[in-house]
Amino acid sequence: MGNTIETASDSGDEPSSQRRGSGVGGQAAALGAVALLALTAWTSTATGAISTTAPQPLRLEHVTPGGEPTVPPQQLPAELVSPIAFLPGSAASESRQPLPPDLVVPGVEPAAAPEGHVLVSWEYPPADAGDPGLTFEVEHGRRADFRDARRRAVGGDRTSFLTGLPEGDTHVRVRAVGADGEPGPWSRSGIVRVRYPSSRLLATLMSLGAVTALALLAIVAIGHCMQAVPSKGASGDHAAARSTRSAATRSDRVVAGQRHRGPPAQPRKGRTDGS
Amino acid sequence: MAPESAVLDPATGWLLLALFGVAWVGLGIFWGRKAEDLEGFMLAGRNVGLALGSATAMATWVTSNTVMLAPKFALQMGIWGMLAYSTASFGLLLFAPLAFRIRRLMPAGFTSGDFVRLRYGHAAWIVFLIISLVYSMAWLVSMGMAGGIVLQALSGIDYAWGMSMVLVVCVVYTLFGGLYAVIGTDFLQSIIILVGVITVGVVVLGRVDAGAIHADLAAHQPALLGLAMPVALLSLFNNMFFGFGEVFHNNVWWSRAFAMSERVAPRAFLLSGLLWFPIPLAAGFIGLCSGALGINVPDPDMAGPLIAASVVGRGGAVIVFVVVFCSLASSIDSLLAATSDLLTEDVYRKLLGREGSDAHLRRVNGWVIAGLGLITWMICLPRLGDLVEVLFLSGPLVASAIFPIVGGLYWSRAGGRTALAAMLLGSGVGLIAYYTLGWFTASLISASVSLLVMAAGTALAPAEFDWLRLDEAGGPLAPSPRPAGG
Repeated sequence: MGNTIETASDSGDEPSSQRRGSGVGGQAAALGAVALLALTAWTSTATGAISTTAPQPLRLEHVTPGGEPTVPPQQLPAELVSPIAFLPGSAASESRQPLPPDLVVPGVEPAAAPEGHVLVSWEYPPADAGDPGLTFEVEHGRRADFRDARRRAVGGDRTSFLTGLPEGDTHVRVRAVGADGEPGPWSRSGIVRVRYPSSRLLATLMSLGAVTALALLAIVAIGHCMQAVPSKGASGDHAAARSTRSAATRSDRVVAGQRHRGPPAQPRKGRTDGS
Repeated sequence: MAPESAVLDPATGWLLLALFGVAWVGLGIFWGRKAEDLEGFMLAGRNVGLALGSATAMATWVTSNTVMLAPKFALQMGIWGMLAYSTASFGLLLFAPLAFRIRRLMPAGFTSGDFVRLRYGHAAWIVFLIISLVYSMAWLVSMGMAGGIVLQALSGIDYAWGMSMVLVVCVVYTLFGGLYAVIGTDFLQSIIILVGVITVGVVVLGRVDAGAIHADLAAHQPALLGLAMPVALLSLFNNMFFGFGEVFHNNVWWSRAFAMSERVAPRAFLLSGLLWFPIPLAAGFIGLCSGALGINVPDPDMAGPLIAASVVGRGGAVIVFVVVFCSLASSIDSLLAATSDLLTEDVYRKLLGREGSDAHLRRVNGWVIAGLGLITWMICLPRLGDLVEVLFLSGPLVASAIFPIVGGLYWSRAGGRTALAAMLLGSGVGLIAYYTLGWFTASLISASVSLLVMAAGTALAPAEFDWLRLDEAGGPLAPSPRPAGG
């Protein structure tokens, strides 16, 4: 896909992408390892060249298999879904400049992202969607005018997962770039609203977690040490003796193929609960 | 996703599937010949050694979720996210002393349900079975779906075919080989997983500049490097308790404890926990590289396989394909075996009161395995919803079982009503937290409520339990005659 990452300040100058590619080339354990490595080497050499193409994405959210947005069109602002953009063969679709994509997520309302990440998705007019060279760029930043924005090329994908967003509002927009490198206009911008849990809630839950974890460790540690001392463990001596004899006992209990591991469930109320 | 956009062509994908599928089925059937009776089929003769025991525990715990979710956690929550996923290894580590205790108290035990039934009585047992079966099905379905999705993404094999193949292979060799087959294949799969993950990790490290990754994160996603990211901090505890709950309650781990000797089981779980710990860190690191490498992540669940395949190329895609297949197989077979044991022993035999010969119960077990596979396939086929979310939804359920299990193993005064209340209240409050506060609090709150109820109930309404009642085999030291029911 040859994706690149650029910041607004250095757009187009120093893309930080790296070329990716090239391959790697007794007993049962060794057999498994050798088989894996041999397979890897075989598939790498069999084709002669190593693909540098990253796989296309799976779109699992927000867009149905048929490509329809999960947000009903009537919920989108009228000015964002330009009628002319959906007319095949119209003047707009014949233009060299790509049409603006339609940002689906974030929608019209700010998208809540309490965990600091969001899956941005967009639609593109079907008339131009078949252009094999069509790619997209996503831009996001804290300022509504996008002067501090980070821009990233996302290839032909129609979704992009943004993470590590700071608390507050993040503005997002997307545009298409034609095969000739000519970018189209930006889509409308959407807002992602990050609200982390409050400090008080965080402190409360962290304390609760620490106490619970320590309690668990203490119960297991104390319980384990206590049972290790025969005089203190009510069952320790019995269990040790029983363990050595259990195999013989079990074998005695298999009679004529009929299992006698114990009775079926016999609910005995109060048997284990004296409360 | 269009098949032509995958890194591997479908023919290569099918070849790999066929090669490993035939190998697992063949080896499973071969090893399964050792299972001469039901105990051999279900618990591998209770004589599993340290190497096999460690490998099976480690391989079972490396699921498709590890390969897919650990990078997602790192991508979403940065450094803390990587560590949060690794805390799931604490479940294996802390199960080591529990396994020792379990083997001591129940030398002839079969399932985790046996323990809860004998220790806490009928009502708590029913609730426990529901929790365990809900969780096991969620885990099975999430892995079936993940298998179809990943194989399609990497090789273009149609989702339905890939998912079906993975399930069929696992069902067939589990059906014929039982726990012998599961543990034997797990051993090979653990080797392949370790070699694969290390290979991809080394190649990725050789291709990326750690300094550049740090600089990119610091410049554009500083929150991922920060130490005070609230959700990440909470997920650290939440994941840890989810992991404790998963391991402590589920029959997958209890059956392994029963399959190993008292001396081997603790060491095997300790070793497997130590071996597992770095795997999410390695997988998570790959997730952090996406920004610096300029790789768009269109779907967070696919971040790991996508980035690894992109960085290492076609060879990397082959390794990821094989590692994912092995991860899926090693977990699905274990779940099929352990869940079928639970259904056969606890539900069919003990709840419904159906008795029979070894051969009869083994036939029942086989039908249950096939039925579980079929149900999983039917749920996976329509590819509905986000099953990872379903898995996390089961977090508060399993976390509520942590303290009833631990208390039941070590506190003689913990009673059945207390355990029942701890599971119900823990699950209920945890589920409320899931929907009101977020998934990253649910297991934590559930475990805390469960602890509070167990501690208070045991202190205020103590019950005295005779540990010898747990030896259902009725050995020579059993305290009282059993009602004949065999």
